[in-house]
Amino acid sequence: MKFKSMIAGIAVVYAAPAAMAQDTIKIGLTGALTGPVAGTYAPAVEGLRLYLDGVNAAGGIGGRSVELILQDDGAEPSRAAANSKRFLTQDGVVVMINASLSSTYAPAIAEAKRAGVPLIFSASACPPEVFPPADPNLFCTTGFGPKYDSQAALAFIEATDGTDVQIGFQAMAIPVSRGEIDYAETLAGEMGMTPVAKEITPPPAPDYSPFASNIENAGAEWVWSWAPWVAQVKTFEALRRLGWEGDYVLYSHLEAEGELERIKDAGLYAIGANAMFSEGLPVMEEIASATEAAGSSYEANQMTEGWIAGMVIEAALSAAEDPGDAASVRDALSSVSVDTEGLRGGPLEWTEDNHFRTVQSYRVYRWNTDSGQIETVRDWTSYDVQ
Amino acid sequence: MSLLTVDKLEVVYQRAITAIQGVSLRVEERQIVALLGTNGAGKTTTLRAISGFLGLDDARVTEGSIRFRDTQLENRPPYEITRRGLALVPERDKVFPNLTVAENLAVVPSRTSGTARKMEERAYHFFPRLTDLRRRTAGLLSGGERQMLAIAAGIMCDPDLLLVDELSLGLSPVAVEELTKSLVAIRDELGVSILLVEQSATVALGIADYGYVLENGRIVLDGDAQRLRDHSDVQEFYLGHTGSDRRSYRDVKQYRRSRRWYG
Amino acid sequence: MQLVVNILVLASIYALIACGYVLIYRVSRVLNLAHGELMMLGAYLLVATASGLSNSPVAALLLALALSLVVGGMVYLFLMRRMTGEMVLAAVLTTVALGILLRGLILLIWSASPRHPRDMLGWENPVFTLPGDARISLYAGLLIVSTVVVYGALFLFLRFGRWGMRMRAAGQNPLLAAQRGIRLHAVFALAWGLSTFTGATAGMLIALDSGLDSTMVMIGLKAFPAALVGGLDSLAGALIGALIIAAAEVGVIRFIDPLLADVVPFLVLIVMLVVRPWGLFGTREELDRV
Repeated sequence: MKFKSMIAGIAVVYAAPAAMAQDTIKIGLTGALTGPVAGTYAPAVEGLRLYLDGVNAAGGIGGRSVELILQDDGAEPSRAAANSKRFLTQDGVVVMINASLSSTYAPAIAEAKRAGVPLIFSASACPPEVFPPADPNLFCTTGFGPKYDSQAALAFIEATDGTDVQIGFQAMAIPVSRGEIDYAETLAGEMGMTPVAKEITPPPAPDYSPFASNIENAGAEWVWSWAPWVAQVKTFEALRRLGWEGDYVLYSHLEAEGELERIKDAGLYAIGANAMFSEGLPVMEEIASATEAAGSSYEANQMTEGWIAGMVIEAALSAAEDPGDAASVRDALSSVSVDTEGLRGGPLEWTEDNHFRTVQSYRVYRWNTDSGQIETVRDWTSYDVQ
Repeated sequence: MSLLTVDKLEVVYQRAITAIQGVSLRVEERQIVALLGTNGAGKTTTLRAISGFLGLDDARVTEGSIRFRDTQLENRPPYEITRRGLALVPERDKVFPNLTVAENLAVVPSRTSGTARKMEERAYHFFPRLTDLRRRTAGLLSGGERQMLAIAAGIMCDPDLLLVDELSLGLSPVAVEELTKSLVAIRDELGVSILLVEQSATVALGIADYGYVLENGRIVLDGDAQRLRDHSDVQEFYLGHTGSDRRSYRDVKQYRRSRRWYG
Repeated sequence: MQLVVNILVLASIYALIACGYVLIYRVSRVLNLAHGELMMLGAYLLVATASGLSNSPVAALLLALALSLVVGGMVYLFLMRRMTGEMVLAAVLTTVALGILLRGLILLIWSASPRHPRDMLGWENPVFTLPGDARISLYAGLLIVSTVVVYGALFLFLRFGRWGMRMRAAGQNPLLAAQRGIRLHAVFALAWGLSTFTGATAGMLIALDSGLDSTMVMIGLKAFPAALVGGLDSLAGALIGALIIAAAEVGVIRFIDPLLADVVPFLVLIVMLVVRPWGLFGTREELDRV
């Protein structure tokens, strides 16, 4: 029952060529649906699929249905390249989506540029090319944004505890994560904080205690962690097992809500661009019912990223003069403005030279041990993206 | 009915190389049968075919039959054949070198449950010297001791027929003497039949009741031990008696040709 | 002190996993490259039994352990058995294929979300303070205890158990073992079962200590150098190899640069391969057969 939807998804992929109707709009997604990092991407892809199913059920885009072609790349660059080639030469997609590790970006970007087909990054880290001045073909809907995340996190620590703090950092040994934490370390120094430790964990660490020991020994009072979820949270839990009593800020990836509930620790703060489902907004109810109807194996609160990508794609296809033409869709994407209905701190807007978003907003959540539920510690704080 | 009947056996290695062809032989109850032949004549292949091939041997019985009592044995795995009462003492690698003497015996599964201890006592009974060597690692044993251990392990299998490949190879005459006595004792006391493959016809025909001569993958001569001992060809080529008149090479060829397609 | 505890915990993880590589290699000369996946499967089996038997957590744990033993045996009987008599390389490639299959299967059944079997079973993970102000969580401690117990039991079993001796015998000379009436398939299936069992024990304890997700596969791969350093056919070697690698890794994290943590096991491995390619306790002759 649980994996029915997954199987259905795969079935759609393989049934696609047979049922190819003249007027479907095709979108190709290459993502880490399997492999060690699948947990970060698969739920988001599921969210996107559910959203587009909803679009099709409601009549599609101007009567044309949207076909999402899912291809697994297992986070391997070579497979991502093959998938992109397939989308462009065989399927004739109008938009490509990447939901995979940053190592798969280069081949995907090269293919997109060559064919002039827009490429949207969703659930995966935004590459520098989407920030102003943006590459015309590349877009990013993903919640987290390098530099802005660290600015917001450190601003939160400053607002809570001032700048007279000893701060530790945690990253994973992948370029995006390390780059961000290096930036944060410099920024913290400029703000007057005292960086005491920077632990970079390998992607698979059997035991995070040795890394946690270093942070604890260094006497960190706060830790800012910006890495894939597993690395963030396992470092935190290892710290707590060592008896560390400081406060830990981590990026609120799609697993965050369930995990805050599981860990129930008031010193664990999740900062992020997506609203948590404890808020119970109408759009969240909608996602929850779609999830339930599809019998999905992932929690509704993990689907936000995919849902937002779906909103953007629907908006762009609707606005495009010819949604079956890649160039036309690309032009529409460059001026898209999507009301995220409360899933984010504001609308997601793209301009000619900004394909990240014009305004990035952050909220901080944690578990409230008294009330026994997730609380908002700091409400939406916005940063203009330049 | 014979204990073991091998009929027109053909074995092919690696799906291409025919190692033996049309080998037929019989072993009766309580009989010691010798299988003679020079190097590469196909003796070992015959024994291995009877005792079973493993997948890694890449060999098959392609024609003929092997009947043991009333079951067909061809192309069954060795452990099944051993459990039916047919144990092999191989020529090389006959013991587990990293296991002790006692362990070498202990690994053998009992044919009938609960008899392990009795079998062990039996093995030490025939080879009392092994009792003192119990804790010695098998790899450190002398050639003769190793052969004893191998035969003792064969007895542990509680066989009705013991196949011994090259009893005397590389051993001193004293050791061989001792071993042949043990084999006869095993036959006499346990009623076990023995099929003995030997290069040395002197040793084999000394204890055997019946013998076969194998050449180039074919049986060329058979008869009871006395007859073989008296046979001039056997005397010349296997027993090393030159006789009074020297024979020319042409006669040898003659002999070979005339014995072809025996079985 | 904390340093020592960290080393011991990591060494236990590596040792528990490495003995699975050794067991299978020793009896069949096959390198089981699906060991990481089998270990992860073991941990997910606990998730499965925990959701079915949340009322009796101990039963769930025991059932999962028993299942892992069965799964390992099944892998041999239904898959690897067909590879006997083929080239060793073919068998190794089969295990690679098995690994890919298992990863996909696990994802289909349990999805990629992180799981926390300890919460499902309703168990706590208290932290103990040891002399010298070192701290260790219950399940990390159990990892060390399990390693001692598993290695002790395996040693006794291989030394004195009849089936243990048969495993050693079959490892030395499968043909002779078969000729002595030892059922090779039973011995190999047992080796696979035990290997999966020990791997799954490690997987379950890691999952109980710090949660379970699909990155666990890579932990299985990281334990491989420990088995190689010690010598692929030696259990004692695996234990010592695990200690060496863990000490080097934790030492590097503490005193040099945590970034190197990932490289250290393989660095030690390369040094070992240059100096003594058959491993600390391995037999030189075994290497030729690989």
